[in-house]
Amino acid sequence: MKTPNLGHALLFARVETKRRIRVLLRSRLQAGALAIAGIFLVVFSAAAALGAFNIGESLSGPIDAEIVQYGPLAAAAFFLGGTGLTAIRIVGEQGELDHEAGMLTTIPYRDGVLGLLFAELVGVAAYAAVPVVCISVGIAVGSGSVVLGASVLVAAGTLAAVGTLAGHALGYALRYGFTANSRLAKYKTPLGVAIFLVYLYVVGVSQDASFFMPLLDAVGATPIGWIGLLPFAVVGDAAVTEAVAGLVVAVVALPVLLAAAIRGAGAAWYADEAHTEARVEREETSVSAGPLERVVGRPSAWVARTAWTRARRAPIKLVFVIYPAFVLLTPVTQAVQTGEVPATLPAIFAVYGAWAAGAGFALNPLGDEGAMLPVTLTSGVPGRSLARGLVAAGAVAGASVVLPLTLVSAVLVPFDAVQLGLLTVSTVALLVGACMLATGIGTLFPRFEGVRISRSRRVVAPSLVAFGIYSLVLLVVAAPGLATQVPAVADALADGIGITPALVQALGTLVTAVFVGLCGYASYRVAGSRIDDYRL
Amino acid sequence: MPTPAIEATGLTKRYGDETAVDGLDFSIPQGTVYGFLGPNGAGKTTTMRMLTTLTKPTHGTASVAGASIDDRDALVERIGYLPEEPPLFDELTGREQLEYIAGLRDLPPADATARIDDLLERFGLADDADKRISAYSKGMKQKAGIMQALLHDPEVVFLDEPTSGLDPRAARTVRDTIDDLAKDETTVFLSSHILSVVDELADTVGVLFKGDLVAEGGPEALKKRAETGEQQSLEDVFLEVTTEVDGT
Repeated sequence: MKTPNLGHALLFARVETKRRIRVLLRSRLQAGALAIAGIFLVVFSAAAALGAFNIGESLSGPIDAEIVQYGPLAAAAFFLGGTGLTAIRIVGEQGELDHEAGMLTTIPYRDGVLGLLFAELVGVAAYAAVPVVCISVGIAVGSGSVVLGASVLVAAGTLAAVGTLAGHALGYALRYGFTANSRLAKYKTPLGVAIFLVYLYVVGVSQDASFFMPLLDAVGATPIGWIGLLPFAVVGDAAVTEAVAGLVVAVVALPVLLAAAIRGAGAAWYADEAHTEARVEREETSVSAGPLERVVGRPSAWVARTAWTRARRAPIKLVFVIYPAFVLLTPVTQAVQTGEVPATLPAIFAVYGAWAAGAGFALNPLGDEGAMLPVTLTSGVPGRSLARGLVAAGAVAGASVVLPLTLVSAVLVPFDAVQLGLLTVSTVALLVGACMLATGIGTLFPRFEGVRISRSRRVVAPSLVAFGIYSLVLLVVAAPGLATQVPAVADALADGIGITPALVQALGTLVTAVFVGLCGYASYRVAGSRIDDYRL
Repeated sequence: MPTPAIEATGLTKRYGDETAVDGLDFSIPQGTVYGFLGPNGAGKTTTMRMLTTLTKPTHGTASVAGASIDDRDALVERIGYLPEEPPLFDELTGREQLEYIAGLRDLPPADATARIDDLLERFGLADDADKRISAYSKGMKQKAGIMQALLHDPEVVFLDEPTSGLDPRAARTVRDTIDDLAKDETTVFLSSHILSVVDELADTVGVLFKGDLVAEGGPEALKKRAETGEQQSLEDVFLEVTTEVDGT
């Protein structure tokens, strides 16, 4: 295999990094978010340095053999984490060249692979360099040994480089599979969601570290794990030969992994995309918008019907609403571990479900129209009809998932009949209100640029500002309903006002339903007039 | 006899059971303009992707500027390629984009600067060279894409719809540029739906239909009806050959 041209790769990485920085600094909001993230990084690094200082102090004396055993495990975790994260990025957008045809007819592809790798290493360094250096300095100062600090830096740097390269090799191999294998290509999205949910369950719900231990033990026993012994070897508490052997193997592995990454990228980039027959939709079609027509009117019913069809045929559009599912972790974990369903779970299901329905269907009414926007705006459909259609789409789709979840969990708590009735009413109110709330905020802060999710597909997700405002407002209006579901809060309020806790919970839920209804209606009105007055 | 600039033998591409390009044979002499016509989905882009090494043929072979399409490294040095969407980075300025490509192509810095200035001047983009490409109009992006494809003075240029989205003046500049390229012995493989452009510039026209080369020849020869000798337009020829085969 021919070796890549270092000059080309460095130039590629330099321009790629410049482009990424320009994209990040394109809007003041993003620049602000970056500055805040930078402050967090500095604070985190300072805390890590302090912790490292304490560890360094403890390393100045004799070290327990049990502690030394954690070295290979830590190295294995660092390596596997780096490999996994990088592989995911490579399978995603990071593993493809922008303007692939132009680039691949300008430079040999292997130069592009190395260029992308360098750009990725710059990205990793941007986040990891400061904390790693702080930790190394902390250990050096705490232990009084510069060599010890430097050994931590060397070990972390080596593991980061090997992990990133292994991630590239693995990522491109997977990418090739997802490109060339028709079955894998077809089920890529559900597979990704399933892996994410399993990960969520293992890490968050079952919190069972033993799931990963065999893997950590296995990798820890290899030369990669031995790199974790380097700091202990420096202070004489581990075998130097093992640590050095680990470093040597890592250095030898670098070109091998690079060759694998180049081979994988070549296969992935030049592969014929898996041939799937253009699907003939055999669904019955008609000009009738369906039963919803009688409730929201024909144009709105068509908007809703089209929104459902688009979501069903391109579910990837809705994947982003899964990310905040982390809010469900604590109550679901509690339920799994204790066998009892927390009283707050139904309300959390209702609020999260309503949020997801609004965010998924109604938070970007203008941007989500895509190329259809000029046609929609000049079709004569009133803005309010468009917004109403999206509200109907979100509320009905949301209800089909959220209502069963909420009610089943409420029965398991258990709720009495009155509570169940109130919960049902407030969940429906939340669903409709949240979707209405989303429409106005989404039209005030639309987003039109798509995020590329594969070689030929882009998805237009709502803007970050719209996400932020919508989530904040919904959380505030949902607060009375959510807070009063906590027994301690309900009891305290009941004592204070002189009514029963059940009544407090009922009132809290009703207050939330009224709040979300009022805010939602105001937002929906804004959406209607914004769409009517919108100019391209 | 000089080596043809582009030569294809039995070039075929199949995706599963579907044949996108079926046994293409053609030979394009150096310094000529080959107009590549065909309806949407005829296999034009697939053919160009095979000739530029982006897609591997199922059968057959081809060579471009003396390099086999199996020898990617040798081939990409000798070609310039403008895909249908100009490959430009919105975050860079026009000049930065061209400097970047010059760097990737290893052009000597002094030559590259002179060449970039010359092209910017020739295509009327000198005043906008330091603006970001995101601020460019469609026509300006198209011009920048063409300049990029010509930057290293390639032996063969593949242009996919180069006049698409250009105003008449800019389209004229592109047509003049293609004409100049051919005079300088550069071979141009020109895929376009704008038949007047092909009619004006092409030395040879090839019409692709459902993966087959259904007609090939000089524009004037093609336009002369075989039976009667009567003159017809290139559009008439195009419609005729892409309908006759459809009916068979």
